[in-house]
Amino acid sequence: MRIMILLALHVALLFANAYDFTESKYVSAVGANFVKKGHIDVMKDKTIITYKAPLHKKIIKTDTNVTMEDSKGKLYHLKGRANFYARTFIDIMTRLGDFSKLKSNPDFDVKKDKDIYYVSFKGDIANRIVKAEVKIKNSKVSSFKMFMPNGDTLEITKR
Amino acid sequence: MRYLNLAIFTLLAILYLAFSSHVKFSTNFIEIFFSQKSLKLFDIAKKLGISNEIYISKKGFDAKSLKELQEIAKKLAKIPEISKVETSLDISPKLREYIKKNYYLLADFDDTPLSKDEIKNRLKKIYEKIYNSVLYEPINTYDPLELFHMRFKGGEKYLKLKNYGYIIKAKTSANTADAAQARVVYDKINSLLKNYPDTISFAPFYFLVENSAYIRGDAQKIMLIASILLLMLYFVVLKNYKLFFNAIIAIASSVVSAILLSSLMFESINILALVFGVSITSISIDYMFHYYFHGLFSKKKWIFQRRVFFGFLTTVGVFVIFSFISIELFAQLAFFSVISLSVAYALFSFVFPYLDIKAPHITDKHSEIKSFNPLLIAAVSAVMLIFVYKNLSFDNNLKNLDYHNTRLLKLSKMFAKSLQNNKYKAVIIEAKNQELLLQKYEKIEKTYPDMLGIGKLMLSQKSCKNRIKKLQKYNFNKVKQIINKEAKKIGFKDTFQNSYPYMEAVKCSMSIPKETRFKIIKEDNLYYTLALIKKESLKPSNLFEVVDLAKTLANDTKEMKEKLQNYMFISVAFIMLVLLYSFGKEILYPLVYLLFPLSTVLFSISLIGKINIMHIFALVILLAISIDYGIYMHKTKTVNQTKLAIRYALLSTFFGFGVLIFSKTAAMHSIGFVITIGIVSIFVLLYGKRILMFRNL
Repeated sequence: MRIMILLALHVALLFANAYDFTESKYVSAVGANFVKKGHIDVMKDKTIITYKAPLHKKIIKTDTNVTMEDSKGKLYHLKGRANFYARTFIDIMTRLGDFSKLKSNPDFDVKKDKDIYYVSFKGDIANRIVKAEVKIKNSKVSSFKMFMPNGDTLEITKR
Repeated sequence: MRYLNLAIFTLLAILYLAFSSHVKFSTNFIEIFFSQKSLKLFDIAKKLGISNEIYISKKGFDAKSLKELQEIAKKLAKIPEISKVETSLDISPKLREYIKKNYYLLADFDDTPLSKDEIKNRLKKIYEKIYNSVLYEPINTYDPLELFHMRFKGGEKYLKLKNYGYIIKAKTSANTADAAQARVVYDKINSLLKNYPDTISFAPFYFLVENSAYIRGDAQKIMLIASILLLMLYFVVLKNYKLFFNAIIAIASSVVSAILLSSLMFESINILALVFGVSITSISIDYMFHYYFHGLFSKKKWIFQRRVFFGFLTTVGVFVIFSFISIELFAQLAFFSVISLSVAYALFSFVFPYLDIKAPHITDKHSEIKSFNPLLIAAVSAVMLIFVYKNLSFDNNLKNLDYHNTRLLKLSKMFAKSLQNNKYKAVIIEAKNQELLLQKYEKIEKTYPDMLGIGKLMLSQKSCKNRIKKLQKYNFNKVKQIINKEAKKIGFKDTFQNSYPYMEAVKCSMSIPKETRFKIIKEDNLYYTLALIKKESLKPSNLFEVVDLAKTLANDTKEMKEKLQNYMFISVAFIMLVLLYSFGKEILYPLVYLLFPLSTVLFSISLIGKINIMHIFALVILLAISIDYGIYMHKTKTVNQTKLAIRYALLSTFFGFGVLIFSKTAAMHSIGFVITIGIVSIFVLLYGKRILMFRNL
């Protein structure tokens, strides 16, 4: 039975990209850094980000919309600008967080220097994210940092 | 003289070869079903980019699939008939620059004056949002008070086919209403996709290509059956090979003559007119059989038989009438038929007597006809027509006539759902100049604020000037001063130093980049643009024309039916006149040969469903041929020969047209149904009494 459970867990890990992370967000407008802890599950048809601390929030991105769920289970559909940025950043997070996707993604230009991959974006995203740095450890992404045009940064470190 | 028929054919074939470069065939099926008004509407819609879209999707949302899809896109762009290929939803740098430049004009502007407290509260909200937000969202330093609002697209970089993969959106410059051109594009795309497994592709014109291929296959099977039956008729039953070969050559000569003269009359001959024209030419076999069974081919002199001449005159007369109809297909078909039937009549009457064709051995009993009481048949027909009048309705949905291509229908639904194409209806707006066109757009937009179109990126001069006045009225300098002062107090750094920049540079000189989805085109001194309005809210209006292929086709089919009906009435009146001239008071006898098959066919259709345009088309053919038999049979002294001639003529008509009843395609089945029921009813008139008395035919 234990073997079966282990096997099932391995299979699940093989087909889904999931990890715990620490998010560090620097907002230049107020000159402050904000740190949160969370978990990301990248599945075939949706991506779920769950923030555990400081506040419990769950963000679910599907093909059609982005939904936010609070600790009481109340759902909010993101609209307009919030929806637009949520989709863009979740999409980029899933791609930067996966080493195989990072290397073969047609939307990025990637340059390697030691353990860091320097990513520059193509197309529309370049107007929202200037560049990104992805740190690799044992052929796996350990952290990535995105640099915004207004001086803000967003760093995700896998735990 | 024995080879005169062959010599005529050879001469015509040489003529055809000499002028073949001038003979043009058209496979455009749209132009034959739509009215000129609808064709113009669709032509403009096409120029505005509504049709000719092709979608390709590769299974999977992973990087490998995306890479493969982009590889396909590159190869696709190299196909000469492909005019545009898109994989990304990104807006072009040029368009981005244009929006940036004209942002204050294009975005919705809330010019409600704000007090110092209101500004302070809005800034506080931004500050709190920074501290409380779950997901990162950059603050809008240019418009912190959110005075301007512009709708954001979904944030996706790629078009996606739900539960399948990313999508390539391409456009073709080929005329996809033309079956031949559509097939070229279809073949090229499919040959490219052959190398990429798990790839699906869809375009509306695929229906034309695949369905016509299916119909062609179906028609080929039926033609094979028809050919076998015809060969059996000539080789096994008649056992006269010479007659067979000469009849084939005569029909071929008639067809070639009709093609040559039609190409002088029309710019191009539609392939459908040609196919049906050839079939109608086979009706001329009637004359041949009549002469043959009366032993006239062995008399070595020109043949003139009053009955055959009148039969020919009524048939050709009907087609002459129909050649004036304002439906291109029928006008071409009628003209073609007039020529081919006339040539066939001339060949059978003036050439066949010199071909040494032996007469068949038939014993003539010189019996009088006693087959039916015309008054009784007329009464039965009238009863059936009353039933028809009360029960028969018209099916104007041409889709019901087409092959039901489930695979493409499924793909069409799949793509429409994912691309949300099924939520919107395209409308065309027309005006005398660009300014009036944009003003019209803005007027419509007031009713449909969600509508998509050129107005999202361009304003009329009138609106633009109003907007500039509105901007100038708003005291941005004062607002900026308050923002900067209050923001610092709240805890912001010098974040909003550059808020509401370049306000003084705003000008009404909007020059929209070429690559935008919505365009303005000029056609015959009128300006047009296309807009998309949500289906659920769309109501008819005189401000725009809805582009709805199915609805337009249904309306045009209805109009077509009315025109055909009118021409049928004129044809019946013409036949009556000819019959009145030829038979005087005895008109009823030949007339029932027209009335009975017609009413039987309509009665049968009303029992099984609705009448469609193809039924009506076949009724015209039935109308033209059935009256011949009435003329032949009236007071004939050679009943056996006449009946035999009619029997073989009906059999060959059945083998030519009636076998279509076995087709799985509704359009062809409808024609076959009408002709078969018509033939059966003429058989009933010929042999009704004998059938009832179980006597041999």
